[in-house]
Amino acid sequence: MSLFGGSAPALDLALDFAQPWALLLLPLALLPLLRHRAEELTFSSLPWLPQDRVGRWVERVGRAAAVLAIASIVLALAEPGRPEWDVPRIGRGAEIVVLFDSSLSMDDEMVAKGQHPKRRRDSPLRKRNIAREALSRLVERRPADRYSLLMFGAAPFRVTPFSQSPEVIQAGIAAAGISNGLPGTDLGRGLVAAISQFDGRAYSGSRVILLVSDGAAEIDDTTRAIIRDGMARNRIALDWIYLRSVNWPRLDSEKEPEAVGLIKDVAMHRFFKTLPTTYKVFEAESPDGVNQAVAEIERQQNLPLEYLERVPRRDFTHVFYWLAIVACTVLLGHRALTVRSFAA
Amino acid sequence: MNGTAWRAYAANALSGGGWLLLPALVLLAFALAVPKLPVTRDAYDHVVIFDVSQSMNVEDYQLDGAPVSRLAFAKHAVAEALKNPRCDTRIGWGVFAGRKIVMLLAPVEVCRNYSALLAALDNIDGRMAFERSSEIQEGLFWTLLNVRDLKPTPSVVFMTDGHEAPPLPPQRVRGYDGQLGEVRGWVVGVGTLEPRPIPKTDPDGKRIGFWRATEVLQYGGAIDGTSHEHLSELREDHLKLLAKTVGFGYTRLVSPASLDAAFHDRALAHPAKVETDLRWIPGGLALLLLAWRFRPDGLRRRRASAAR
Repeated sequence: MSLFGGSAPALDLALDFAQPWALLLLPLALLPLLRHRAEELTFSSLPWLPQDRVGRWVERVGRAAAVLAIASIVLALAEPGRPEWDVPRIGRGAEIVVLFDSSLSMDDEMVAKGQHPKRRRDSPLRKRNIAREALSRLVERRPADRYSLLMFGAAPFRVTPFSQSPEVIQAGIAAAGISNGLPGTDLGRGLVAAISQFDGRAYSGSRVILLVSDGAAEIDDTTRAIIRDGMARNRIALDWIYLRSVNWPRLDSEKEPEAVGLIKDVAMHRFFKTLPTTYKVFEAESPDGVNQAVAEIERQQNLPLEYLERVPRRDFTHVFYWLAIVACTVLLGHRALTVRSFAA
Repeated sequence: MNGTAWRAYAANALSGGGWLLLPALVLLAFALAVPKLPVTRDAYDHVVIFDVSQSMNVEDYQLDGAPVSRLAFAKHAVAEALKNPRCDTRIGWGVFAGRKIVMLLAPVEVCRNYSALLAALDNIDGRMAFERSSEIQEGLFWTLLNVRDLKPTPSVVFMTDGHEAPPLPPQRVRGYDGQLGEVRGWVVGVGTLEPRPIPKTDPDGKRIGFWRATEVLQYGGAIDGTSHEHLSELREDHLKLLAKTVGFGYTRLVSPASLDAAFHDRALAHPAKVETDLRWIPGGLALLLLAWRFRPDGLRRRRASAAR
């Protein structure tokens, strides 16, 4: 077994101690070097003894084993390890900014046209819950992806920047499910904030903003220009999971929309189609529809992606306990072979 | 080599204190064999709710010699309090404005996610104020309602300066209709007792001067000297009353250490099985045995007469 992790690509000898204070005990390792009266043999005249080079080496081995035994235990107590480090890898996936519509209407149930949507916190049909569960499964299944999470109402909420920790993204998605609906739906500022998550970030493959929204947002012309520029500059694709009301016409239908809500949604859709980068809409009117949309996104966002995998801290404590065991065994063997008293 | 010789070698090895090496070896082997054991310990699940209303921009704290806002200091204090090497806390963030809260992160384990948690904490600022008003009493009640949707139900650390906007007449302080003790936690008072002007910010968080007395709703309507809603100080009496209403503790944020009362309140702890590294126990005992074996002569009992 290699002491510093045989699989590490660069033999970077970074070591740290989880309990560094234990190193204060290190001077104990000097104890075996003290001369002990018990080890002395009584002999009538030292000059009569021949020079014994082998004997001197045997003696040194014994002391070294004792020093090693104590030192390794002290080091083991200090719990040495290699601090967490990043390994560059190439996987398949994408950098995804999830832009989650947190407006009040997301608390509605998905219902058929004409039905009045109910707003119940615990309803399985609540748009917010459906979207949240689908997202949670997406993150779970795609470990190579990097996620950042934003919510938006009247203002954008940067929940987490790009994170190495899937646990934190999941916690953000879970929190999105229990939050209160925010007043307003300023999608424009939400998108600008989502785009800015990529600013100053090295381009590593595929970049997506995953918009989860039931629509009904307006974007003014100035903001549209900023969004268009930003999407082009940072080369970001846009995927929109559109949680639409059941039985509403599809966004691409020929007819000019009549319902007030639909007019806004179609306007959003038409603006997105003018974006310089890839845009896809996934229309979902049921929990199954949302799942299908997510599955479709999973299939599509599979380009090679360079990413840094964070390897957790590696503990080497056991290595030092092994060393201590070996040293103690050597010490026992050494004692078996040496004469320490003429009386015994 | 026959059996007698082996026995002689073994006897030789174990004589004169050498036998101490045997229990040391057993202990070391034990440390290797059982790296971690589940131990039941106190663990904490907290949701920290930050008031992000404009009065939290008042700079009445000092950090490294420079004035910092209440919100900035609250964030700093929480980040400091998390530097706790015992991995016994799960923590999440939320913000409060208007009369509601928005949960940002459900509680996650601190040790594994420390840097990601700090990055998320760093994002919290006044721009997250999704409403201009700041009805703290309502916000606290909403918090208690909302966090019950999280499983397991976390405890709440509610960080605010107590500045209600619009001002709350005393008779509007209402009772809590939920069940006391179902959600537990602390109200942490942020700010100092000296009234100071409140910086005014635009939706993008830019400073645009201070709120003037005529621009804010004054209690009772008129400015007769008793009402100064354009100035903000820590309204501690109000917060103590609110905390009492919902069965929370109250503490004032003076330094990061002030949060210890809230974060490590035994009443909020729940027992959790934590995989605990206990190798130091057999390891330490083995070390003790070896140190005793090689102890300096000064510590040995004089047995000179027996030896002679």
